[in-house]
Amino acid sequence: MKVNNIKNNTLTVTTKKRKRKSELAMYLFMLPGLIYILVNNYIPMGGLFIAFKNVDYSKGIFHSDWAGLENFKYLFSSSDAWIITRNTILYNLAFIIFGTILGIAVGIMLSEMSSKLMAKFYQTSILLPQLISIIIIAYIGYAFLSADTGLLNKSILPKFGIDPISWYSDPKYWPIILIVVNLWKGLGFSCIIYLASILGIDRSIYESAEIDGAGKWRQIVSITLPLLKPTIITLTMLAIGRIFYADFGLFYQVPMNSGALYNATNVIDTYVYRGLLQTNDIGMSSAAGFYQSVVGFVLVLLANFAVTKLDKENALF
Amino acid sequence: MKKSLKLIAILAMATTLLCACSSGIKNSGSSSSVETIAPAEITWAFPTLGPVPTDKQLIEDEINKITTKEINVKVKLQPISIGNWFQQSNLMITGGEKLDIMPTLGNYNTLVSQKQLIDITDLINKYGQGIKTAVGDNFLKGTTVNGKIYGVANVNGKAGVPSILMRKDILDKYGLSIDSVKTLADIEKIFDVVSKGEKNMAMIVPVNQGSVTTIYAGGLVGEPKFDNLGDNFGVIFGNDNYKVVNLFESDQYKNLTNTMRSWYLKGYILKDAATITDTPQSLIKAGKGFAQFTQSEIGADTNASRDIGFPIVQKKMQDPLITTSAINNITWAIPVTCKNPEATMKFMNLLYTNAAIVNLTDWGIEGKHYVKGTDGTIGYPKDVDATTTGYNPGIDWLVGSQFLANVWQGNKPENNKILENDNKTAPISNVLGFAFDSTKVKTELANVNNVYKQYAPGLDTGSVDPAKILPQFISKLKSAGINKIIEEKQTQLDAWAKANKK
Amino acid sequence: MKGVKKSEFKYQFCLNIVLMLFALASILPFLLLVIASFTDENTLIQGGYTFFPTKFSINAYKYLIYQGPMIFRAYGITFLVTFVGTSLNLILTAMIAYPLSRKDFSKRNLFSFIVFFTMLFNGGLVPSYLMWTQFFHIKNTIFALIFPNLLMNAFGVILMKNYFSSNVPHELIEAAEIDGAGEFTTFFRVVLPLSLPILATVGLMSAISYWNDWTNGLYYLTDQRLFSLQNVLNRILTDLQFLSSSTVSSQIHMDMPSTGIRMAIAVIGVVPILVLYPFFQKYFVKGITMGAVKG
Repeated sequence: MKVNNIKNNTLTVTTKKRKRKSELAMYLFMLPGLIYILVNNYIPMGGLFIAFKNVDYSKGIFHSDWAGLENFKYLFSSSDAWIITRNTILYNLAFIIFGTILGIAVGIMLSEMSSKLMAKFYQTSILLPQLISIIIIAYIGYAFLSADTGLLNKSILPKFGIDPISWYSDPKYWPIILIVVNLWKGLGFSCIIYLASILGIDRSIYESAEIDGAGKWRQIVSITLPLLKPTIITLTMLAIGRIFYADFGLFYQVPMNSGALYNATNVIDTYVYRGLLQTNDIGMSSAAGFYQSVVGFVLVLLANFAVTKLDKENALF
Repeated sequence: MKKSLKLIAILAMATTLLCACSSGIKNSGSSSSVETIAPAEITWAFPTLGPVPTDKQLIEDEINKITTKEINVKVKLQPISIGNWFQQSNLMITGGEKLDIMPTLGNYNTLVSQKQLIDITDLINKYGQGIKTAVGDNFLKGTTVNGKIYGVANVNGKAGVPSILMRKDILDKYGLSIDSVKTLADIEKIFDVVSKGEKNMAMIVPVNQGSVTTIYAGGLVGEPKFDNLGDNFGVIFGNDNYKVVNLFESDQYKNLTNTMRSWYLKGYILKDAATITDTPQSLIKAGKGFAQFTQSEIGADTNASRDIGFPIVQKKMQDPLITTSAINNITWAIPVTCKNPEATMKFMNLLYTNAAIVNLTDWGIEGKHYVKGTDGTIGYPKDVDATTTGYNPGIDWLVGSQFLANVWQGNKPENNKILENDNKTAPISNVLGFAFDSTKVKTELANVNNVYKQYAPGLDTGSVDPAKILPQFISKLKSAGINKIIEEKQTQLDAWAKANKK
Repeated sequence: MKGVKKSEFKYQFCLNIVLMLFALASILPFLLLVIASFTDENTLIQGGYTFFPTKFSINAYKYLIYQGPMIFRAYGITFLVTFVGTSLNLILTAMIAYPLSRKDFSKRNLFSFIVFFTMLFNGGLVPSYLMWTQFFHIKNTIFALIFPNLLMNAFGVILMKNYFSSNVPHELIEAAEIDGAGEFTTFFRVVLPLSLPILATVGLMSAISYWNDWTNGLYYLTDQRLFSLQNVLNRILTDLQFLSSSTVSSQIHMDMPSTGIRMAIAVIGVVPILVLYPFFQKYFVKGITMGAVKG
């Protein structure tokens, strides 16, 4: 480390050579991964031009006529355009905020457990919803929310003297329902990510804080959270990049594709699916993807710029 | 070190296993027969219900015995799960994969306007004489677009009408008969009686998700029939005019919503009818419902009795009107990826003329998958049933001419004669042969479809109050552009009518 | 000291209660699923899903046992694909994340952006499909379940990169270099052993993605012999959804798998991971033990 300043000249040459070897090694390391994303992600990106084509199969995709911005119109022209955009963004914001808070909280709790057997048990259980297909989750939801046979209407609400509610016809409950389902499903993953970061923190820091008289809460606020900051910022920024994409399974299957709920459950992805089900126009679906990509990209650039100003270390790039 | 060596060894084994797996699964090309001219090879895709039959290769071999002899063509069967059908067939065509003949399942107009199918008018004239005889001029007209044919309708009963199916045992219990039923009010009278006795049973179950009646297939019972011109956004009422109107603004739709609402409030319709996806058969089978609507001519009762396990009776409730949609609902077509259209058309012709091929595809091999009974129907052989049979794709409604096929037990073989006759004698829509090209209004269609899916299920099942919601629905349809769609349809229709001297 | 022990006990007790609530919230719906798979079909439709069904039945599992060969095969495919895919994923991800975490690597920002950009822009299904099938010919091969999309993703790369930067001190790497170790040796002997928690995390994420994936099968497989377990389940579910919405369905009259069977397949899709997961948890033991030492 500090040995370098002994004999600058000879060492500079060796250092330069070592640095070059090291850089070459870095490139070699990245090579397999870079080849993969070139093939899997970058080459298909060339297909974004489909968004601007009026696809005619007899001419083939490449030789079809150009359609200008025609394929984008349906995303903006109806009164639903505002609703789906609003829904997509607001839900994702809620998912980010609540998901982060809950993930950190549970991650911290798991790390504080003294019985490692119980911690294992809790962790495995919380991961469980992640493994169940979203269509099955929709069935389970139906088991609770069905108007005549659901657990809520049949067993639970009567105990509180509340009349049965037609859950699948009334949009106002669904923001809460969908946020809860999304948190329930995603908690397993997110708490593991935070847990892994927490486990990487040197325990001796906590010990010395305890000796200095800091209580549990103080330790969390002053040690854990600041050290988790890079992870939190990273995950949040990644989520912002995806803020215009919605989990199709969640918003289509869980509300059982019920039309009455659309004002609360229709997001860009479901709108595109429903709109194109009859015509299956790949130009139009490609246009939707393009639109979502561009918006996400711009938002991430803005967010990254903001983070760079505040905390340069943790910017994504 | 040791640990990572072990891991690498496992990884190596797994990768070897992978390669073995993939080379084993890769389709080994069928050995070409030694002939003077090698047979043309075509790929035949069709949907199946349930897992791909284990005996698929046996069926393929039997079919090829016939096709190589008759037309020097080898067929490769490519079954695709029906739930994945649209996604996978579309990707295959987009990807330019070898696909020579396939059915269209309700999306004929779309495929034609996107030019995914080839023009087979000349091919039919050259190699499709059997098709012309089996299908008939009228039905060929039904799949004609701008003077060209892109697909051929399958041949089975096309004169379906809205019918009501009810459980016979319950009717008997209350001394009721389905024969007196002629109108929706008659049905309601029966519901009034039955519902008092059967407290835990809904009276009528949805026939599709979000739809109790079959209004979109044949018009509402007791109301003027309409031709839906391909989709429901712009229809023609009656058979004597060419005026395209908005179905959802019509009295007929208003009456539907009001009737459904009153039935819903009386408890005749399931509370979750707008959202559940259970099939009507499974609901009635479980005792959750008493009746259902269906679009059918005859034979729906025997099929239902078999599926449901209770005796079912059927009553037709309208006179037939054969529309373009009825005809092009299921067609056989040749996609643009076909490399050998002549060979393919020769094969398609066999689907409409060769009873052996139709029976092989529908039912399997005689003796192995089915045996002939004494009454002219067929059934499972001894020791075989629905779960143990090696071939049960459930597509006896799909292939070529169904009048050539054996009839499964429980159904009446004579029915085929009746269906054939009805096809010839039933009234045909005045605008048969008009196909709407929606490319100019695709933006509006995408928007209108969302509005439709939002409001229609609630209204069609009586789950919402039409006095409040129907006006909302209509106004939202307008702001989504339904009038533009209707105008475009009218323009195209007028042009078509002029060209066809109507 | 007794006071400390008592408050520590109260603290652990509260932790347990809260976490137990979360665990129950996750387990109970799954339990409902299991019970539904053992409920008689007509009771299921009549009375809905309940924790206390009036009539039990093992028909769903009988059907599955009959379909045994197909289910077994699907299991095999799922395990194989998950194992190979996850292993390759970890290797690719770690190898690309490491240079991005090295502050002395001059181009790290550029390549971070290149990796991250893939999360934002998506060419869509059609170009990917065309490339994988027309150029790489993976259709109806097992590679169709491994290569598209899941072999490496930017999310995992960024997580690993962050972990390397904040938890593997640069001094250690420099020390290894001074000792004469090359970059590869440093990576395998110094960095990776220190990164077990993140390797386990990303590995777990990748394994779950592979296990749960059904879209690759949907797009690239028509040969059902290559279906993973999720593909088998999804095929049944989408067949049913087709029937409930299509204009064609009035013509179809076939016995479709009952609700109970769908539940049973869902259950058997989850059970293996549940059984195997605790064994892989030992990579977290290090941290959890440290937590125990703290007490």
